[in-house]
Parts: sequence; structure tokens; C-alpha cells
Amino acid sequence: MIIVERRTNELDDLYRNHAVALTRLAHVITGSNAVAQELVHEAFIRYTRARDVREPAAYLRTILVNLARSEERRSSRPLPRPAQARFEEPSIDETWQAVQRLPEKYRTALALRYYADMSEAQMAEHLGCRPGTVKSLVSRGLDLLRKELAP
Amino acid sequence: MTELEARLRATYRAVAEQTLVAAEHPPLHVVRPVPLPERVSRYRVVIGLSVAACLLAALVVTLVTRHPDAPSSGPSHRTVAVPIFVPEGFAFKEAGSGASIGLWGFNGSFEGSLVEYVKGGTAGLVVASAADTGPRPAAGQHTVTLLSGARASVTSDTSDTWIAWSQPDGPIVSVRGWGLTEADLIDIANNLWYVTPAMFERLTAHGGFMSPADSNRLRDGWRAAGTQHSAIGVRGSLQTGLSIALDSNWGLDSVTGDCRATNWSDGTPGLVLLGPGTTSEFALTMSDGSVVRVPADPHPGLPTLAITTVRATGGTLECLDGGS
Repeated sequence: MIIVERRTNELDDLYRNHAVALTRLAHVITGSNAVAQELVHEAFIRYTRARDVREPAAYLRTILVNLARSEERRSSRPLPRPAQARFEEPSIDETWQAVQRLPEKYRTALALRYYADMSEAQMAEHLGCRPGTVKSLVSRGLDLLRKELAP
Repeated sequence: MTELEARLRATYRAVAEQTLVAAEHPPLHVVRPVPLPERVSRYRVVIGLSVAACLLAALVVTLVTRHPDAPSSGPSHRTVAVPIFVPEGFAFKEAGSGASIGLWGFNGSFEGSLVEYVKGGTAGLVVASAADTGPRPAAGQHTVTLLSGARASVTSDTSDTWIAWSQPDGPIVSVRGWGLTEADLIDIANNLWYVTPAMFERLTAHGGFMSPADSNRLRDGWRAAGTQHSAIGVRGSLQTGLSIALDSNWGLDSVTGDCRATNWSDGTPGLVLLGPGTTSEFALTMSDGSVVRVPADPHPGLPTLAITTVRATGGTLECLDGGS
């Protein structure tokens, strides 16, 4: 019983400390705030089922990135984005719309690099690929984004 | 940092600032067990013991009379498709069920199940299935006939290919792959094991892992009617890979649609006959020219594989489909 209580309190703390950052990360990857909330919820559920997690925050982030990537693939259509964010600054609005048009793998790579500020090694770990592949994903993602934004 | 990179960072910051976070749930409360009253009436104890005895007796009768290898359910209850063949280098990633999902090639969303395998960051495949029997797949770019006889629609875009079909007397299924050829996906579609939700839960209970003993055990074992020889089933785990196996000493790498025979596993004279799922009857021509015809009696969870057993030692085998 004591173990259960400790686990529950730990989960409360973890949620309080990391839910915001995780939801933001999932939002910039998936482009949907609603989907991001669901994925964060699912990541926490998976965390509660996991055993011997040494770094809970890192574990949650890895699970979340995997869920975000899977979510896009398992849907037969683009993810629902009923409340597409609009921004007052036209260049930001235009950039965000262009990012949404990129294929999933490039969107994820750009979000991890330029939002989460991950190193290539960290990205490789999260994406399950070699650092060289990460470099090429980011580079190709920027190229595609540049083309999307070209007049 | 280039102008584009700076613009991207500013965009992400703006998006993050607008992100709404799900309302924090109230703290979870631990439910403490309430101790039973110290005095339990004798009457209740007698009833309790009687019920327990009846349940135990029923369990014993079931275990004694049940065919030891009988598959637990017929095709209509096998609503989850699980790949038993994945290309070289693919590793299990995740599996789950219960969520509302879109199945590629079908319109709408369904309460379904998913199994995903990946190969590094370069290739992957997802098998999605749902119990709904009504929906038909949308027209794809072309159609193929699977070894079970199901007609599947095939669609490709720049990076992915997906195959969708309604399994006769079974679930709707969609297999999507990236970094894979259409032929690879058809092989995967022809090597699906259809299981009940309860069987799927056991397969996924520990992240797809199983103990070595459980992993080596023949699951969903099935024998042709009237024989005690050669149970066919599935061995392995999602993490270590699944394969079709015949008792303990023989197995299939994948279902290819070949028409072939192998000896009974216990060494007594007899043959296991195997063919594509569309086979309705096997014709075995003996050395003296006589022909033995045996109806195919397929395993309910492996519809692309027709199988039966015959008490014979050799001959020329032909697999006859329903139209022959």
C-alpha cells in the first residue's frame, strides 16, 4: 500500500512538472492541440504501467515522440485540426501553415531540433535512427520548408 | 542561425504559448481495502463453500473434456490481425487496442487494434484491424487477391503503400508500410494470425515479451478432425517474432500459397497436407493411380493456409480450390 501511495504522489508531481512542456512539444509535432493533450494523457498512462523507469521525464518525452509519430501514421487522413491556431504576426502564421504541410518525419525532426533544442545524438535516440540520418532529416526538412514558403 | 531557422524557432515559441494543457486531474486517491466483519455467519460460509466447490467441479470437467489443442474461437470472434511474418530487420514497436482509429483504405473511424513494427528510422509497417464487418474498402489504385480469397485494394502515395480488405467472416484489415514494396506488404497480408481480443491481450500484456517457456509453447494449437497427430499453431512472441509451427519439430517461415505435404510429427505413417487458403479439397494420387480426396479443414486463425491430415505415406498432391 505504501508503494502505491508513493507511486501516486510521484505521478502527481511528474504531471504538474512536465505536462505543460510535453503538451507543447506534442502540439508543435502534431499541429493539433487536442491531439497533443490526448497523447500526453496516453504517455502518462504508459508511464504508470512501466517498471524501473530511471529518468521519468526522459522516458515520457520518448514515449510522447513515438506516440506523436504513430498517431500521424495510423490515421487514414490528416490529423483533425478543428481549431487551427492563427497568429497575429503574418510571417509566423505563414510559417506554421507551411510546417503543417511537411511530411511527418520532417515535421518531427524540425520540432525536436528547433523547439526542443535537442542535439543530433538526442534526436537519434528519440527517433531510433543514426545521427547522420537526423542531420539529413533536418537539412531536408528545412529545404522543404523553404520551398513551401517561397513566393 | 539562418533567417529561416530563427523564423521557425519564433513560430514554435508562438505555438507553444498558445498551447492549452489539459486540466489537471484531481489527485488520485488510494483505495484502501475495507476489512471484512470479524463475524461471518456460518450460513454464508456454507453457501460460499458450495459455490466454490461447484465452480471447481465445472472447471475440472471443462479441462478434462476439452480438446487440448482446440482453438479458443471460430473466425467471427477473431477480430484482431497480428503479423506472423515481418521482413528481415524489422523490430516490434508497439501494439494496442480499444482506441478509435482510422483504417487506411476505409472511410470512418473504428474501435480497433494496431500492431506496429519498424526498421530503424527507414521503414515500418502497421497492421490495423477492427471488428466491424459492414464496411468495404474504398477503391484503391488496383486490387489483389490474397491467399485467403479476400479481394484487397492497394493504394500508394509518394512514401507509403497500404492494402485494405474485409476478411470473410472476420474483421476489416489494413496493412500500411513505408520503405517496403507492395510485394512485401502482400506477403505480410498473407501471413496474419487472426486472434480474439483476449488472445491479443495476452500477447501484448508485457510489452510483447513472453517468458522463454511461454514463447516456445505452441499457441492456438489446432488438429484436423479425427486425428491426434500434428497440431498446427503459432509459436513465439511479438518481441521475438511469431511463426507457424507444427508440434515441436517443424515450422513455416511464411505462408506462400504452395501446395505441399510433410510427415506427421510423431513419425507414424501419415501426411499433413498444406495449401493456399482457397483450397477446398486436397487430391492425393497414389503410386497405384488411385486418388484420395480429403476436404481441407483450415485453422480458424490462419485463413490463408488450408490444411488437413491423411493416413498415407506419399503420392502426388494437388490443391483444388472451390471452383475446381
